[in-house]
Amino acid sequence: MRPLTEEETTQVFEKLAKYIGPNLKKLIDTPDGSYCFRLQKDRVYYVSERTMRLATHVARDSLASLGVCFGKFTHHKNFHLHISCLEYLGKYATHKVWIKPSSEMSFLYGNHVLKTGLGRITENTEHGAGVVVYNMGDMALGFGLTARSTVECRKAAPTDIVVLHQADLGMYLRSEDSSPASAL
Amino acid sequence: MTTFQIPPGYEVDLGNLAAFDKRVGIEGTPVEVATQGVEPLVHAIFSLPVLESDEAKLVSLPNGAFHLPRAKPIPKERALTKWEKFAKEKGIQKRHRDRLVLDDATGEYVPRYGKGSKNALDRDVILPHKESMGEDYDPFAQKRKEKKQRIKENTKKHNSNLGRAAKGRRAQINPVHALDVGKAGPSGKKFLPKKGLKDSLAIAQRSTASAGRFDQKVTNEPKAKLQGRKKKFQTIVDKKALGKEKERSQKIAERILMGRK
Repeated sequence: MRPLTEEETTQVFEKLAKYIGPNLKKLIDTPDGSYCFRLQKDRVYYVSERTMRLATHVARDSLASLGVCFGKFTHHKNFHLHISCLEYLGKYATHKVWIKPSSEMSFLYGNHVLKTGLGRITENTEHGAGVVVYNMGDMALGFGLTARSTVECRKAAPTDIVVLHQADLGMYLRSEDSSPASAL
Repeated sequence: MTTFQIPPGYEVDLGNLAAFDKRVGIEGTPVEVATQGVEPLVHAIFSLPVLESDEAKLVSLPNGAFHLPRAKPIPKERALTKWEKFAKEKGIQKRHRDRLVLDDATGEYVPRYGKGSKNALDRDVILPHKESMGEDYDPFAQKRKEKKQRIKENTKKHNSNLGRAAKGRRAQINPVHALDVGKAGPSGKKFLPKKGLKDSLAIAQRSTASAGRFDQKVTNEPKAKLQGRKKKFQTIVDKKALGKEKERSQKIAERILMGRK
């Protein structure tokens, strides 16, 4: 376990800023205690300071996970966000997309969101923005990138892709092998 | 002729045509001393048995006693090729084969290889064609192709044997010189070996007054790796000031958010 280097921090923050924008500061400056990012085996964890101090007592090889895994660095040092950070993304998301119940299951299986499944979308969402996907009951289902801006969405054909799927709750079941929890 | 005796203090090394004056307390000018020293040498040469020759008096010099130290280290023995190694292990003896072989078809002796041999390409006037191979099948072309393939394989093995032999003896190639080395690829164009090129590029990048820090890079030029610098990570828990880490993160976050606007 070690703190992130400047480059790594920049990468992680940039990725997060895509989804939560200015609320990024709220992740760093939490009202209920100081949280920090730590790197363990190419995975980035968001962990409270107290837990982190306790984790220093665990041997490096034995330390499987700590706090919440936000994502991991790939072999070529690209950073990918993981579904496990959805809780925080959902809390602080700037751009949101609500999908109809009919296409909920489709999204949870890993498909992109089509125009037919689109319920609501926040105003002024530009093309290629990071969005968090909710169901109509305001439950976060996953996140992705917009394929079209809000304006374009209205003009889009029913079968056009509106949100590109990146992660969904179904991944907890589908990618059990590669999930951070299975780092044991 | 009375047998000449080398005076005490002198040593004659006939093999190297040298005479050494090892007397203690030599007196006289160097010229006089040298003149005296030549006498035993000449006598020794003339006391050697003369060989028969029409042109001149010939003598055979014995091996020299004085050994000059080697200027270069002793060359390593040529490494065994893969086959030689295998043969040695298995105890296979080399069998010398005749140059001419009996050709059953003509009943004559033809060379085992080369011109006029059984494998020669110009030998076949008619070759069988297989229907299963299809219309485009050209058995003559096939034979030519196979021969080329064999040659290619053999040269490859030969080169690898040479490489293995030279590995011990070859001095480390200066990576900068690797730019001159070119091997012809399958299309005939010369390629630069990839590994040497990377090293050469790294050397060239840092070979400026500022060690390459302020140089303009060409498009797609890879970033120079900071060689020799160990990665320094922050301490896991900064006991003195956890605030410092927070500050750092905040600064980075601000920078990113500013950039996004």
